[in-house]
Amino acid sequence: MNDLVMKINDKKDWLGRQVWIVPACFGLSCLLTALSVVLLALRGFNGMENVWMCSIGADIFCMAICAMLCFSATLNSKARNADTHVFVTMLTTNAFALFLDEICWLVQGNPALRVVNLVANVLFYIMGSVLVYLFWEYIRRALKLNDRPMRIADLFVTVMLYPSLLLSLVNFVYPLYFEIDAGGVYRRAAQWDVSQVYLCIALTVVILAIAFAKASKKDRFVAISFVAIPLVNQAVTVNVFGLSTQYAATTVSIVLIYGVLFAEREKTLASTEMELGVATKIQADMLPGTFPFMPERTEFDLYASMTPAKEVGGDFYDFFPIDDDHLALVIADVSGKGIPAALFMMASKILIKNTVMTGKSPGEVLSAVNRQICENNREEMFVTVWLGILDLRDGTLVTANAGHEYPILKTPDGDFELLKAKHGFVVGGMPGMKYKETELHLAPGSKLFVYTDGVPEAENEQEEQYGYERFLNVLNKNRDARPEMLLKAVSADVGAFTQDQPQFDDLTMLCIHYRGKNN
Amino acid sequence: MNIKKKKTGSTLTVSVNGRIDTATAPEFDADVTQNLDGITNLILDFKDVNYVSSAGLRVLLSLQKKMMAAGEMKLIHVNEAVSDVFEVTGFDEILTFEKA
Repeated sequence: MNDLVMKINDKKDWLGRQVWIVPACFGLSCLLTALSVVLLALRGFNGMENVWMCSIGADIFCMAICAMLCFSATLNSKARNADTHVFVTMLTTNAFALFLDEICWLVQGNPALRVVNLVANVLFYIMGSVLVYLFWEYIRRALKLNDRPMRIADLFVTVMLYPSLLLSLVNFVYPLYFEIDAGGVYRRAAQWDVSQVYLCIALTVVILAIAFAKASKKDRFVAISFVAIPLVNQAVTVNVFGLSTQYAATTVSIVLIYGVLFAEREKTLASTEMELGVATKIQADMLPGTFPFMPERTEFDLYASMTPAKEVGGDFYDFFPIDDDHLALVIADVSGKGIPAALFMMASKILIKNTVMTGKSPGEVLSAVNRQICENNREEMFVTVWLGILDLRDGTLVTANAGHEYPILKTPDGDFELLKAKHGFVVGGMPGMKYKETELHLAPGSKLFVYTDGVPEAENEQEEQYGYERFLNVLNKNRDARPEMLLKAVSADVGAFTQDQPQFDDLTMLCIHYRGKNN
Repeated sequence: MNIKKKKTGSTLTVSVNGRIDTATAPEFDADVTQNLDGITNLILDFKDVNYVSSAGLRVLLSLQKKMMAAGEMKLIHVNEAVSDVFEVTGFDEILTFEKA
C-alpha cells in the first residue's frame, strides 16, 4: 500500500518522473573522479604546498565516495522517487564542487592558467550556493516540511539563491569576493564576507526550520547535525589559506544522510515484511485445516490445500456442514494480490458461509453475496467462486459457478474430465447478476476436484503453461488415490513442471470422494 | 506489453501486444484511461494479446463500467486462449465482442 501511495504522490511530482537523473548523475560523478586523477597526474606535485595536497587528496577521495553513493542509487530502480533524485543531484553537485576545488589548487600560482583559476573559483562559489539550496530542498522533503512557515522559508531560500548566484558571477569582471593576481594566486577581496551571506542566512533558515519542524526529535537532531558539520568546518578553516575542506565536510554530511536513510528504509521494510507474514498466517488459519474432516461420516472423504505464492494472495477454499445431510464446498479466487486481496478474501469467505447457512441455494447465495459486495466496492475487486452443496444421502450436488475454473469430475468407472457447466459472471463485478445452477448426481465412487487458476496457469521458465492436458494426465494416473494423495500428486507434478521458477500464484485445490450412504 | 493508440473523432482504437497480467495491467489501465476524455466508442484490438490474468480482467471491467456511462466498448480479434478466459470467468456476458 505504501508503494501505491508513493506512486500516486510521485505522479504529481515532475521531478519524480525524471528517470534519467540517477544514471546521468552516476556517469557524471565517475567521469569527474577519473578526470581529477588524470589532471593531477598531468600537473605533478612540482611547487605544490603540503596543505594544497591535503585539499586535493580530500577532494579526490570524496569524489569517489559521491560516485559510489550514486552507484548504489542506480541499484534500487524500483524505490526511486523525487527524494532520490534530489539526493543524487546533491551528490553530483558536491562532486562537481570538489572537482572545481581540486582545479583551483592544481593551477594555483601558475600565471599562464590565471583564467582557469578565475573560472574554477567563480564556479566554486556558485556550487556553494547551489549545494546549500539542494541541502534545504532535501531536508524539506525528508522531514515533509509543508506547512505555511516552511513554505515561506522555502520561498526565501529559493529567491535568495538568484542574487547569490549573480554576485558570484560578478567576480568575472570585478574582484568582489576574490581576485587572481598577476602571479596566478588567489586572494580574497575586501568584500569577501559578502560571499558568506547567502550561506549563513540560508543555513540559519534551515536550522530554524528544522528546530521548529513537526518531525521527531531524532530526525531533527540528525538533520541539524547534517547542516552543522559543514558550518563547523567552515568556522574552523575559514582563515587557513590552502585548506579548503568545506566540500569534504558536506560529503561527510551526505554520507550520514545516506546512512540514516538506509536504516530508515530497512526498518520500514522489516515491519512491512513482518505484517505481510502475519497477514499470510491469519489468512491460512482462516481455512479449515483439520484432516480427516468429520471422519465419523463414512459417506465422503475430503482433502484441500492452499500453497500461497510468495506474496499473500486471495485464493481460498472452504467446506462446512449445513445440516446433518448437507455439506457445502467452496473454492474461490480474488483478483489481485497482497493485502488488498487478502482483506477482500476474508470478507468474501465470511459472506459466503453466512449466506449459505441461511438455507439459500447456491445460485441465490452467489446473487446475494454479489449484491452485498457491489454495494461498497470502489476498488473494483472481484472474486471467482465455485459453490456446491452436496446432499450426502443421495449424492445430489447443486452447484453454481461465478466465473471460476471448470470443476473436474471422475465417475466411478471413468476418467477425470472437465465439467463444462454453465458459467455466471464473477462476484463483485456488476450488481444485479443472476447465477444459474447445475445439478449433478455423484454416483458412489465419484471424485470431484476443484482448483484455482494457479494450477493450470503455473508457468515454467519458457513461459509455457502447465495446462489442462498435464493436469488431467496426472489426475488419471492417480485416479484411485485418496483425495489427499491426489492433491499431493498434482502439487508434485506442477512443481516438477515449473522447476526453479518461483511460484507466482497460489496453488489451491479441493477434492471430495463421494462414497455413498451405504458403502 | 506494447500499446498503440489511434484516435479518430470520438473513437479510440487501442491495439495491445503481449500479456496483460499483474505486471502490465496498471500500465494498460493508466494508458487507456488517460485518453478516454470525449471518447464514446472504445475499441480494444486484442489480436496480439496472448494472455489476460485476473488483474487484466479487472482493468477490462473498470473500462467497461466507464464506457457504459459514456458510450460503448468493443473487443475485436480476441484469440481462442483469451476468449476461453472470458468464457470461464463469465466476462463474455458483460463484454461486447466483434468478430472482425
